[in-house]
Amino acid sequence: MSLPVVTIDLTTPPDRIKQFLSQFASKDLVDGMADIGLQDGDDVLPRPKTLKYMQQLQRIANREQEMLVIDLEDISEHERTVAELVSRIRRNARRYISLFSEVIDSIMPLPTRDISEHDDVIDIILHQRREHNNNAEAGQQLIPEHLLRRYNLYFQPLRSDIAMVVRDVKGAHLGRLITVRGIVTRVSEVKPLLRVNAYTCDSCGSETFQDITRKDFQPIFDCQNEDGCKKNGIHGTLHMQTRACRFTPFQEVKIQEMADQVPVGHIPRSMTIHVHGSLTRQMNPGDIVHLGGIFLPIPYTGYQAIRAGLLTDTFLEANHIHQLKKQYREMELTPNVMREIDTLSTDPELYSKLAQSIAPEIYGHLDVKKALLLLLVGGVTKALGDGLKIRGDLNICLMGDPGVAKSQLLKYISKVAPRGVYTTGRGSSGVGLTAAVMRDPVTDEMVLEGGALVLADNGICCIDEFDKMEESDRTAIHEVMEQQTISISKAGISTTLNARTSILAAANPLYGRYNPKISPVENINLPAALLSRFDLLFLILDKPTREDDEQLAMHVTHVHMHNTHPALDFEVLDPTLIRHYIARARQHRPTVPAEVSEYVVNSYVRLRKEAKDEDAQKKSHTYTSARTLLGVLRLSQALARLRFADSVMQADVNEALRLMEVSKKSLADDDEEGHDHDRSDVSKIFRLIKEMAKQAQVGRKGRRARGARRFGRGPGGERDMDVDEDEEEADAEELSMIDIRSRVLTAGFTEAQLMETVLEYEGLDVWTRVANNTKLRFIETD
Amino acid sequence: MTADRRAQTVENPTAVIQELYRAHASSSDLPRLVADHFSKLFLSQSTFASIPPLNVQHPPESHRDRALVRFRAMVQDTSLSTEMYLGEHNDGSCGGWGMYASDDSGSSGAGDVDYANLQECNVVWATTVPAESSWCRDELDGGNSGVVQSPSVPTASSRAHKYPHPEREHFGVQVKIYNRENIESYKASDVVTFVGILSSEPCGLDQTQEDVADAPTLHVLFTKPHTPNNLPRPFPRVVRQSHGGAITSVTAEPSPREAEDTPQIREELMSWIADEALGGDCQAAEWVLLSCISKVQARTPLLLPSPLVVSRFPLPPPVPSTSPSAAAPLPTLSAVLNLLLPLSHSLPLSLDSLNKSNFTPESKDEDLHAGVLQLPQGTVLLVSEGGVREGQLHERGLMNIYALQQVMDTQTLTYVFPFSQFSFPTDITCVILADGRKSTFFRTVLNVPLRAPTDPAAIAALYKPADEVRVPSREKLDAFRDLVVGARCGKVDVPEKTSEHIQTQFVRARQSDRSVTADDLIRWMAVAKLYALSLHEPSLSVETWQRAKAFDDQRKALVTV
Repeated sequence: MSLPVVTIDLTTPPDRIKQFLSQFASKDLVDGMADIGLQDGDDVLPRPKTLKYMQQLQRIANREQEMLVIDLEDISEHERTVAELVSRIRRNARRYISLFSEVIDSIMPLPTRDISEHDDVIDIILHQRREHNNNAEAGQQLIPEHLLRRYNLYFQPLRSDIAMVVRDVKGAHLGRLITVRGIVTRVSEVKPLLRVNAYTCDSCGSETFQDITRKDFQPIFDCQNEDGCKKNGIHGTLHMQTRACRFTPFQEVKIQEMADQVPVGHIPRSMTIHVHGSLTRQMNPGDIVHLGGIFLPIPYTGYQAIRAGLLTDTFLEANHIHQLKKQYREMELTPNVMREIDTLSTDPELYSKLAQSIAPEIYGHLDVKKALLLLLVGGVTKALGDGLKIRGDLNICLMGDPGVAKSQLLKYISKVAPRGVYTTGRGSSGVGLTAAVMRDPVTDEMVLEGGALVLADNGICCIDEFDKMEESDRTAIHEVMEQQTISISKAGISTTLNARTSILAAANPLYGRYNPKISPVENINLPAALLSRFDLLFLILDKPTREDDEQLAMHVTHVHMHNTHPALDFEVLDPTLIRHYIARARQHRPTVPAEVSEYVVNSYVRLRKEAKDEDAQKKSHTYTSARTLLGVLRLSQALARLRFADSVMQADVNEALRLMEVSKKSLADDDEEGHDHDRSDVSKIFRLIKEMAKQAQVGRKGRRARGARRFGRGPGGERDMDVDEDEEEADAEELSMIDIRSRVLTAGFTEAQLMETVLEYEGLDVWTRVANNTKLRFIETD
Repeated sequence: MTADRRAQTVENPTAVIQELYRAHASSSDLPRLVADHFSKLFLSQSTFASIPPLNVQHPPESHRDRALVRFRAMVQDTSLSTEMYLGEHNDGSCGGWGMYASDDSGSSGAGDVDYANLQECNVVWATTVPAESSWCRDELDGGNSGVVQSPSVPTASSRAHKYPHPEREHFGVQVKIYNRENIESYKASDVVTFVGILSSEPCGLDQTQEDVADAPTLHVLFTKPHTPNNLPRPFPRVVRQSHGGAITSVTAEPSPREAEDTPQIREELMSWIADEALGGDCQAAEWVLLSCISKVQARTPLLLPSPLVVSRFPLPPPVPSTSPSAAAPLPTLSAVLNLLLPLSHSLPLSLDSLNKSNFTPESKDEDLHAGVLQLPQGTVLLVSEGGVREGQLHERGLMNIYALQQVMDTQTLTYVFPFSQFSFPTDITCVILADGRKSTFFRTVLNVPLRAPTDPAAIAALYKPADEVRVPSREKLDAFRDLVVGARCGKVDVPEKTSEHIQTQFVRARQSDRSVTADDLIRWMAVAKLYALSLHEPSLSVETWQRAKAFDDQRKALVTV
């Protein structure tokens, strides 16, 4: 397959170019930048059209502008087609750059501003050269036109040009003007690149110019003056004149494909970019850019050329740089998706359909999935006049036995959410979650590096293993969860960063597995201050029931039989569609009408009353506070958003209350039987032993400074909740059975009761007996 | 297509291309024609074997310039940019495959290049296959018959960073692929046999340097992909007709009779592994065998091999500090696995190696440096923790451990690029030898404690050098390899009846014991399938399931002791 060759009739283009440059008038105001300041107020008058390019040429002539960008959009508008000149430029851009330059040289207006001592030396030289050319007699050598140019000409690609992937740029694109997208990985220093080399002759004083088009060149030594030196056969009298040469800034940049452009299992490709003139110093490593440029081959030089005649390297000569940074994350809405969203929004089963499509491979847990759907949609953030803000983002905590697919749910959410970050409590320090002050390796300046929470600004931060997190790191989250900001003061930087993020946390109960013998509050093992910040908290337990087990066994064996998941009995929506749907839903800002708000108030009052009753019975594990009220409002708003509605209905509030109820029930479920056990002798003995273990740890204060410090610090009220963490930290805590026995027996229990307790909890893997049953060791949980 | 024609092609492949070019002057797709022509010419096994191999024993220097060679290689780096070449020179002769214009026309410079004749070829960097065992190489490259035994010159040291284990003998070759069909199918860590013309050309890698060094370059005529195990072996096992070593082709056998002695061979294999490398512990040997035959079965849903920890594996006997070889000895299991498996690698961990080496490939200055874990699909990795002493683990060490754990958990390896990381699928089964009751660094599901005598002599036997391993007779060894490699190639069905049995059993187990979870069921299923594979049973019977489950229960009992 050979590369396409296009033969072009070059007689007409210069005329066309001339016509375009001299006649094209921009219609919009922005292009006449210089006029904006002057024309204040009288926009109503029909303004005379400005000649966009002629104006710029005048500025170039006046030495006020260096960069001349020819927008292909303008040419297509001028010619009313993209077929003719535009497509020729795109096919053979380099040739057209020189054609345009020649035309521009011929129509360049005279400067309206005189040369003065304020101008650059180079401008004065240019001026003198121009004078020289004008006064030149026939036959005398003229200074090459491009030595007199003081502008850089670039083409700006069409807006409709699709940015290509590096690996799709093929040999067929050689010589063409293409657009490539990528991330800048390396930027060289800016170096001067010699374009025209100037020499003066020692003997006759005449100037000689040499055009440089390649990376290497052979300097000339003999004077080319036809009348002088050449006639007299004088050799070797030329000297290079750096001042008279024309240099242009030059920079070599490498871009690399981005993660979304690389096919799975492939290595990203990179591409060399050459940047000249005014476009240099516009890119930094890490920037995501669209580059319009001409794809060109470099012939091998030197030794390689002798070997080959082979053209190896290719590069892109940049003509236009478009920095993307954040915009590229914005999703493109195709008409197809738009239609699908419209049909979906009228679906009566929309709510459950969307919820089912969240992590479809995870069986059941429909209410949890509904809650997660609402988390994705979110409530409405309200900024009050006095700078206060009421968060709209929902926070949800999933707690449960290991192996109930909490992590999969989290991972799915972090993938579907437009700005989802997944992290684990163990793997991230407080700094990792919030922000760190770092020294930038390139610029050597201090910079703030955002942690997971800052990165998830306006998104969702999924934190797995929430219970395993260091206490000090968890406090950083307190601020995020209610104030949605992060305050930092370290290394001379004191600032507040935005972290408008929803938190989705997953945690294991105390000792890894839910222990029905102790109360839910003890199981949950998180401080109340943190718990109240979660709008919803679900307890997902792995309870053996016959139907579930059969279902589970069938699923696992099916996977092993056929190496695929069994077919689902409901329709699954595509994650991209979900993402688009949610993006659309988030544009709505539903309000709460008066009658609904009254209903909410009544419900809240009822909830408070119930909570008070439960408190009285010592049955409460959750706290109903003003935060609960806000939670209900947020959930109802999210539900209204799902319907693309602008006001909350009573049904939304009901559903929000139902979810709250379900979340509460999941906690209370085991409570009925658990409560009785809780007061049984076995539990009492267990608490006694736990107390002993804690004291034993305090005894080792010297060695385990950290554990001790923590013990001393917690205010009494809070410690009831997180006291058990100490055991979790302390690995292989051992207690002598003799001590235990004496302590338990003095407390009025029997030997049999003690043994029952020991065996019971051994079965739960809480502790184990070691050293021939003379010692009790708490099993570390990891 | 006569034998002569072939001999002539091997002798002078360049002439054949030129001939083809003249015959099809008008054709627009010469590369495809060339590939078709050559692959047809060397279609059968025996004719393919007549192409001289390029391997560690026959390094590039031992071949003459522009010789026809076959090179079984791992694709290490596909990020090299494509190259332009002149498909037709100014004098009308054929270009490409390293054929350049003669000097007089070349000196006129690139100015008069006819851009219409420019064509494109892809360049990848390929290395000799890491972790390949010598018997596998001999079988595929036609034995040691050449006995050139060139004194292995460490030539490749200049680009050692492109090979995962630079301390091993290896070399890398710049491979230029002219036939651009399916060009995207070459991925990092794939094993491919390239057949082409060997020459030496400036290396496309060091573009940043001023003077470009030459690298051995292979101009590819055609390629042959490999299965994940490199070697095809029948499943279920068949009786060997001859003891020729290499099974030529499965279909070529007149009537492959299914071997009936598989259970017996399996027993012998286990006791051999146990006696030679595991201090006589047959149970551990069986687990090692099961691990050796596990592989990635599916990625959606994830059916991955579970890493195995052989715990309580004694530390190596202390090496006298005066000894010249300061490195701790490798466990003998490494040599045994090497004899059984086509692809296996030993990774002795020590603080030094963890902190200094790079497990993950990393791109530096647009050049992808290989990492220790850049291994071909189907490699069994033996990780021994015995060499780790007390000390500090630095950031790189942590990243390395994390990378290996990720390979175990998800069978993906992260390649590091500036500003981004990419996950690549791997298929590496890990066997870890740990001194304690579980692995120091890694989280695993399967753990089997070694029950071996702990007197110094017995420990020394666990670390005896490779040449002291009692190698069984040739026929026996072939049978062992057929069993292991065949099982790796095989696939097990779970019939409906067994599946129902398993389901009811699980539900019953859940009723009686609350601590049984879905994870247990998944583990049992995986172990049972491996068990059936190791018996070369194409479908999982209820009896095998029962045996496998009992086998796993035994292991569990041992762990909790």
